[in-house]
Amino acid sequence: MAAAALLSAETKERGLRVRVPLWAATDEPLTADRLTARVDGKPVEILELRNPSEDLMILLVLDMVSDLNEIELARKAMLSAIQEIPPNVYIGVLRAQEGLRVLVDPTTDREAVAEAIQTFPISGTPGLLETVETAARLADAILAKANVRLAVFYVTDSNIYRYREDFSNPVINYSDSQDLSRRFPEGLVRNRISKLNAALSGALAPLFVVHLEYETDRLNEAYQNGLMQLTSTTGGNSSFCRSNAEIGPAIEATFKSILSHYSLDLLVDAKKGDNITVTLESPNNNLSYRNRFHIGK
Amino acid sequence: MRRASRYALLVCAVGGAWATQQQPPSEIEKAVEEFKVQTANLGLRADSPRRAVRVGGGGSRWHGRLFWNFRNDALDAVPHEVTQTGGDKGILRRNQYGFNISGPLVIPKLYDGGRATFFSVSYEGVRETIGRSFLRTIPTLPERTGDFGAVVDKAGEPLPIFDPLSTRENPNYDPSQPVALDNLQYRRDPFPGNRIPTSRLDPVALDGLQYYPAPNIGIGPFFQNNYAIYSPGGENADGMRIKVDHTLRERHRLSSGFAFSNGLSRPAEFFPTIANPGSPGREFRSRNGSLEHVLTMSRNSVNNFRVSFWTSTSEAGGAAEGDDGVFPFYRFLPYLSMGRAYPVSRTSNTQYEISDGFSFRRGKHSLRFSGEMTQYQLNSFWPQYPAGRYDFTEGLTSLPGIINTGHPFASFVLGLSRFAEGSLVQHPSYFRRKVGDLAARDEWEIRPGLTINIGLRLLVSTPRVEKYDRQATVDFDAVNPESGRPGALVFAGKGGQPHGFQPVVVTPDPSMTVSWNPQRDSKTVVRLTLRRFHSIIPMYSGQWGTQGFNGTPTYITQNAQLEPALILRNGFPPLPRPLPDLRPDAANDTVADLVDRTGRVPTYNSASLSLERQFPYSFVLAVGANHTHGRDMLASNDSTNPNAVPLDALQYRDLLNEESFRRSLRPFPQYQRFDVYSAYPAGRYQRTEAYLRAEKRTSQGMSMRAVYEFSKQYDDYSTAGGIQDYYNRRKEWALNPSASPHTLSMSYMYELPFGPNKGMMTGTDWKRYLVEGWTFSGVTTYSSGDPITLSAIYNNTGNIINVLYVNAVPGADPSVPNPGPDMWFNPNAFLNPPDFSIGNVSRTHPQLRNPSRQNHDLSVTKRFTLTSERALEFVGTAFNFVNHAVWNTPDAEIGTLEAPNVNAGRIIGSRGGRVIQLGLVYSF
Repeated sequence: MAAAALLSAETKERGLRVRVPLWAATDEPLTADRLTARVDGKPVEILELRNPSEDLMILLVLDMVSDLNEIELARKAMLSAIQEIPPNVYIGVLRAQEGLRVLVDPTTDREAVAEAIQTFPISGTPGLLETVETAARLADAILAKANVRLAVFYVTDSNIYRYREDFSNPVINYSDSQDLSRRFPEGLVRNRISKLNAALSGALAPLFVVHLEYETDRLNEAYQNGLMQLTSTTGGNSSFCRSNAEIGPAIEATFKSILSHYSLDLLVDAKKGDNITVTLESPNNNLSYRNRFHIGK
Repeated sequence: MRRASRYALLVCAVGGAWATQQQPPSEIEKAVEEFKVQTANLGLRADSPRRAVRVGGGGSRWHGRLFWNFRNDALDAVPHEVTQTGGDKGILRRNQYGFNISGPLVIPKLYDGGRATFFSVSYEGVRETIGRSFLRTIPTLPERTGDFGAVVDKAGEPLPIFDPLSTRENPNYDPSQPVALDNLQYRRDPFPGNRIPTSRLDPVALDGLQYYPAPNIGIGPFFQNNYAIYSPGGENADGMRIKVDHTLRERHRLSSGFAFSNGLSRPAEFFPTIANPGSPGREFRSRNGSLEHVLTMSRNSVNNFRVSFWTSTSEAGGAAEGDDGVFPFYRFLPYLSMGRAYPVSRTSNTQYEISDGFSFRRGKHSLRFSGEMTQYQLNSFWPQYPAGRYDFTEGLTSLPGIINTGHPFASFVLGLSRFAEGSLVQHPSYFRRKVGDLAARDEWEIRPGLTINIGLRLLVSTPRVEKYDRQATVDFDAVNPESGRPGALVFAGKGGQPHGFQPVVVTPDPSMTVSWNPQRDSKTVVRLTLRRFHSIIPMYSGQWGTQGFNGTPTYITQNAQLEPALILRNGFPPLPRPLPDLRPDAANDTVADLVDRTGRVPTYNSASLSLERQFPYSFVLAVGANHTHGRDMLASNDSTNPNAVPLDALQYRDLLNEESFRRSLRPFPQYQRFDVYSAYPAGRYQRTEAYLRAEKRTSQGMSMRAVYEFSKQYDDYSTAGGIQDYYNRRKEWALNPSASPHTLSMSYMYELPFGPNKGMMTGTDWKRYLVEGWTFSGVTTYSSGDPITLSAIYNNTGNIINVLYVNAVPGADPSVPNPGPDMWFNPNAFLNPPDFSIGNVSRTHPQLRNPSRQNHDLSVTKRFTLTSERALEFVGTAFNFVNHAVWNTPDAEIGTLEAPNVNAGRIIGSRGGRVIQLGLVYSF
């Protein structure tokens, strides 16, 4: 995936347009003229800053197959959250089990979104790892065509042992008493996360994940660490709920985070190479933002 | 034009008013339109073109890997235990290889699974040759010719060997006084020069000794640890695992799996002759399969149905390693024994399982009902000691009644065994059992931040039966016709006996968990769990409980100091009666198999409380405490003996050496003892632990977890060799011998921040291939030493105590200031109890601990990204990478003041060494 390059057509002669999600620590509105941006230490031109009041598209991906109680709490939290969302926010709903599928096209019709959340099928096996790259690709394709803010938001209860693909590397030869190869069992998970991370390093839409369970076994810990890595790479974030009480606040907080994000377009010298580091500053305001981008060739 | 009309529709949907005029779409409208186009192209919509649906999730349709793990002795450190014997590391050649592929199931021109059907196939093969090292003590060459002139006791003093043929009564013996050197009950002459004349040596014993190796090293102390073995063993195995998932009309999902494995294990030999006491080679075959159907009935109800089977077969000896006959089992501690207990055996273990679970949600309740039925089948052919077992002790070459005289190996070369047994197994046993499980659970959200989870499980277990009713046990309610006393052998399905000897057991297991977020702070969770649960008595491999159908003759000396049970040169007597022998007294004078018929099963009660708090930067801290106590824990023959002689009989002193007198004191005198086969529910258990867990999830590529646990675990049955008093289990209540009070484990993973999209060295030129993709993972464990188990060397208690504890010396501190291998504890704080008395120190010492243990494993991975989907990984893993040596446990055998163990409290040697494995994984 080399999404940043998709935006280059608009500014082909001058360089590449790179989209940076960012958050301000204070309620004081950010403006482009109060921002300074550097790429690899050198000042760059700010092309556009879209603020939290502007149009936003959220691709809400549902990936829940396990605990009915947790799923219900997540449903309630999502239904509650979408009622609070401003009318200019478009929400598309997809499901991740057995491949990504559209449940509702992006819309401001909250009833349709609520209906999808209420009725989405909870059958099948977890799909986050199988679908996240496609979701990011879809988001980047949209960003390449439309100048909007966009975020991908997974709500999942995926357990690494329940994937169709075998990440747990179970013992096959029980008589092999000298097997040491499974002492570090997280290798397969890490491998997949590395591939996805490399792919998502070129994605422009921030990825958010709320996981309904905080797992502490070694393999799921590696998996959830991997999810944190993926969201961090795209500038988003992830939450893991250690109790049912955390589900609602986590989903609400994630929606708030998505709604409050700015989208900043920078003009970057195309000759800078494939990987860039962005530095942003604004007087009297602490900014958090995605600072590393991989630009495809 | 087509796009324009779409925008018109979109305007309608968004604005709620029909607009016939085409207006330039807004950016968000363009986004929505692009979403539709892209999702159609990617096959993410119900109406997507078939081709697009097939491509579906993006990227490659199939994923998988090829891998190869490699170990070789050239990579490893020489184990410390080998270095100390002056040896070199043994051979190691291990190759483990295989593949996995998974993705949509496609059969060209026949079937394209698309999203509906998914498969995964894995294969793994292993070829290994590995050298093993052992250090043992075997008889010296002079001892094999009857020359015991150089034999010494634990204090290094000469150990006298007496001639059993010279035994005569002492006319001056005063029965009112204890037997002592100045008041001997029997007189016996020492062999001149401590040498047994060649003419007296048993020809069968001498014949057996030709299969015994010669000493090859002299580690000591004295003549101990004189045989170092470096012997190759090996493993071969091939296995495959296949899974297929299929989704039917959205609501139905079928998943099936099948796996098989064939293996051959060749244990290292202690010596390469027919008398090798090591385990025989073993062939393994395992098969398992399952079919699961998940029906999502509605958004609030799901049903899971599953059927599965699992079977495992193992075959030892015979065809597995070449049928070269069976050697008797000779046991003469402390020397390495000869022969095997189970030279030939076959076992096939099969389980069939069917289960269904229905989950649904109503209001604030999430309920689950489930049921499971398991059929266990165990087919076992397990003849124990088919060529006979002979035990030799010092008694027959000792000065009767006087400790620290005589030698087990001297008794052996004279052919005088103290105990002998054998078996004649005519049929395999076909054991069967059913276990059912009904469970209900309600998770109730009382209010936000307070959830209670209540569950009840009913475990229904039927007794073990044998397909042909070839089962027997001692029934305490039946009268033995030979003696007229309670206790006779009864047979399944005969004489009004049931097919299984135990009742159907129904155990209710309630549980409750409360999860509470104090002050509705979702970052803090308090959990309280109360639980009661049971476990069932497993069906062990073997043919325990089939006496009468199989013969198990037993021979015990009438006086371990005066008469042998059997003399080697006379051979093992034939069975006195043909099989089957279904008389009520068929097990008389044997170690009789005893099945507990009360229906008791291990029962646990536990309570746990934890507090977990999430802090900023993905840092989680948890503290908690658990307490569990259990009763009716399964005890082995070492820790339970319903036919034991009560310890107040010690007052009879030397009379106890007479089997006829001992027999009169036993609750069931017609039996020597009972074999309960680790299935007697008699133990108690308690564990209390507190823990602190700290977790730091991924940050800058680094994640780590540390868990510290402090625990105390007590019981009255876990033991390395036996307990002292079978009737006073309160006195046996002591620290578990393998429980470490302090444990610390840490795991970490660090992905180096070098390379593209990382913080440092982000260049994309050739150097990226060197700097990117490095990951370090490690696991470090530390555990403090487990309790030391002290035992007395000289057990002169008339054979009514199996393991004799030691006495504490009043006022003596058992600890030493700076414990080290030369002195780990103070042996002078303990003494061997006097004759016919018990030790007063507990089974495991409450303060003294064995050396602590630590281990550090490290794995380094270098990843080369070939394409977006393909990568090559080199994995180097070092187990015990710091090459840390763990001290052996100290010598904990305590002698008397007159004959002390001069090595007590000392540690001889250490063990462990770095092992390295290299791996290569190509993933796609």
